[in-house]
Amino acid sequence: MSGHHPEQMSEVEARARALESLLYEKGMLTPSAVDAIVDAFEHEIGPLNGAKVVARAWVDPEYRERLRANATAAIAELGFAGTQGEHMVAVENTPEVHNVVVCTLCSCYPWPVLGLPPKWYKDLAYRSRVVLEPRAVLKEFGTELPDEVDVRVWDSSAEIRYLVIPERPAGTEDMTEEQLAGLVTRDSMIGVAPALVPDRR
Amino acid sequence: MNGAHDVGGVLGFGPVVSEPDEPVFSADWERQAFAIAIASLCQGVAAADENRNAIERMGNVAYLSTSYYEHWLVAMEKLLVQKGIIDEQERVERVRAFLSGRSLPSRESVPDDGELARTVRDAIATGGPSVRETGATPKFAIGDEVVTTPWISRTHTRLPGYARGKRGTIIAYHGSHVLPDSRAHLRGENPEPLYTVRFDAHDLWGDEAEAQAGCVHLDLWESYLIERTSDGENMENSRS
Repeated sequence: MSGHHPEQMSEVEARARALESLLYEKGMLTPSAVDAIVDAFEHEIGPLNGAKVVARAWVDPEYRERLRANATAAIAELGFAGTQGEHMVAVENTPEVHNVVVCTLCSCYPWPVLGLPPKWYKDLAYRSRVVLEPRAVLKEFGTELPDEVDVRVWDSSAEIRYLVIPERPAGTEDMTEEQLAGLVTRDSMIGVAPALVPDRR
Repeated sequence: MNGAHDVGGVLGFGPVVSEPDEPVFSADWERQAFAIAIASLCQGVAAADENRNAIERMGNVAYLSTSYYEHWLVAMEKLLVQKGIIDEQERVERVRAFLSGRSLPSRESVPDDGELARTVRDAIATGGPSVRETGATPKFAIGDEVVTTPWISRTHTRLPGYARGKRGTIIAYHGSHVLPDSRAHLRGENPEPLYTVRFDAHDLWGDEAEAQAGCVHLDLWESYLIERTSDGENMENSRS
């Protein structure tokens, strides 16, 4: 986080550094706190957490029930909890129902299970369109839903955070929970794509 | 606030562009802006609602033309000054200093006993629930038909514009949660019953809803909702 190439510094870089250095002086920030926050979201908290939740739900019907009944508690069983995941709800995709999550007013996102949101999730295009034309947006992600599927959009307007449980792909009966977690992508847990299909050998 | 952040259903922002293998942060200043915000919020400088409100008040043109982490940076610039932690004059001078070649202090020169790092790590892992035990009896039950308040708001609110004055059905009750409309303006937590309301896409968008449209859900506080009365019945009849 050192300030190299100061001669090329942009205004936004200078503004971030100004706040950082002033907060150091006021005792409101420390280098190790900056590292702790950045490290947590770059290396510890991310979609691999959510993938473990989904894989467990796929293999363990009782866990799936607990996830349905109280997602916050069920997710905490696997050790995931905290900021922006205080009140979790899991919504399940089935052959009849497809769920997709957005936050039109800002970019609320379930951090403990998915980490920080990708750029497209925060962009105006996704936020404006997915509530009005979810099928068209999903199609741009390569997800074409049959007409009879009930499309349900969840606009996270309060502190409830939504995790989509994608459908378990066919042909995965012999896979372990850990292998299954490898099929669960970030996009499948936002609801814009299905889980990956395993390589057929 | 009835502002540019409230983009649900707005047309003209183009296609959704997904970047494969995108990094969590794409620049050091994004890491800094995020860390400044999280450390400040963890230390109680401001509530998340105040942060969102500050972002909504940054100016519509600026909001629409800057990125997510710049929004956070703007909010922190405003809130840290508002709370008296930083002086606006010293902030402006410091920005100028960095633009003319100043460097961040070396790590070793900043007093750091690791205490704040532990505090923020714990805060991230624990979070801050917004549910409150109030003993309030919810006015609505699951299955109740409601209409949202139709008016614009000059202050912070979490009822998006596209869902103002629309009919919906209560499908879940979440207990009482801190009311952002109140906490964002330092008027206290004023927790209220919070519900998930299901809106039929046709009730939101009329004929502009997609073919085979489904529904949109919002989590809404009780004061955003009006009981569906006989007027509502009439509204229903006039639709058919």
